[in-house]
Amino acid sequence: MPSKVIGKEQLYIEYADKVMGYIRSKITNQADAEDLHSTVFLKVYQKFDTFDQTKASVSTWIYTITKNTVTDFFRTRHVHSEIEEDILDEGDEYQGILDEETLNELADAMEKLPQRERDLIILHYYSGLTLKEVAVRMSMSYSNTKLVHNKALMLLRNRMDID
Amino acid sequence: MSKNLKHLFDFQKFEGNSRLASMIADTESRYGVGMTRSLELSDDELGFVNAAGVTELMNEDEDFLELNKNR
Repeated sequence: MPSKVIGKEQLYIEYADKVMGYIRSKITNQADAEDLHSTVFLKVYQKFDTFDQTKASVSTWIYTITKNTVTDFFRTRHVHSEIEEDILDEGDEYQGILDEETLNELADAMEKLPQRERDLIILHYYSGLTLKEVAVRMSMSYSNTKLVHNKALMLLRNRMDID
Repeated sequence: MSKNLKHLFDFQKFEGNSRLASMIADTESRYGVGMTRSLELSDDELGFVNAAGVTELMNEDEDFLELNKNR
């Protein structure tokens, strides 16, 4: 159960930068980013009174609103990318893992990975490169990149509490 | 695992765990990713860019004279 209850007034102070940081990681146009930022907080304020902070994390809730707002923007503009499509088509079942604790767990596991495996995971899952693009960047064959990728996933799976 | 990692790293773009951010910055800087993403200029910002790509506003009188004094 979330331990910190936050007031409506505090929401913008605590989350404005995080919301904009996420939006700017997806959208390069400044005007669009600012519009979306405003849209997110409009939705947050509209829904805040019905959100039960004792049952769910405010951070995950605002992240979900932000992500869905960006998704709607992409759909409206008919913009697609490999990673975005995978996330677009999924429901909310992953939300249980989206918290600070799991990110810390991921950080622990990533720190223990060999440099090559760590770089591959970051380039593919954070930077959004396909495995073929990762292979080129890391000067590896595509088949070897897939092997290293599978090895990295296995190491992470062994060290984390998620599957 | 793969799907969970995608969601976690997407969440990282929002939450900004400092240890992950440090590892990410290190990797992206070594492979020239992320930093090279160009940002689109807004319409207001475009107004400050002249044909030569110089973005500083010029003082018409002084700078124009300076530029043309050797012509």
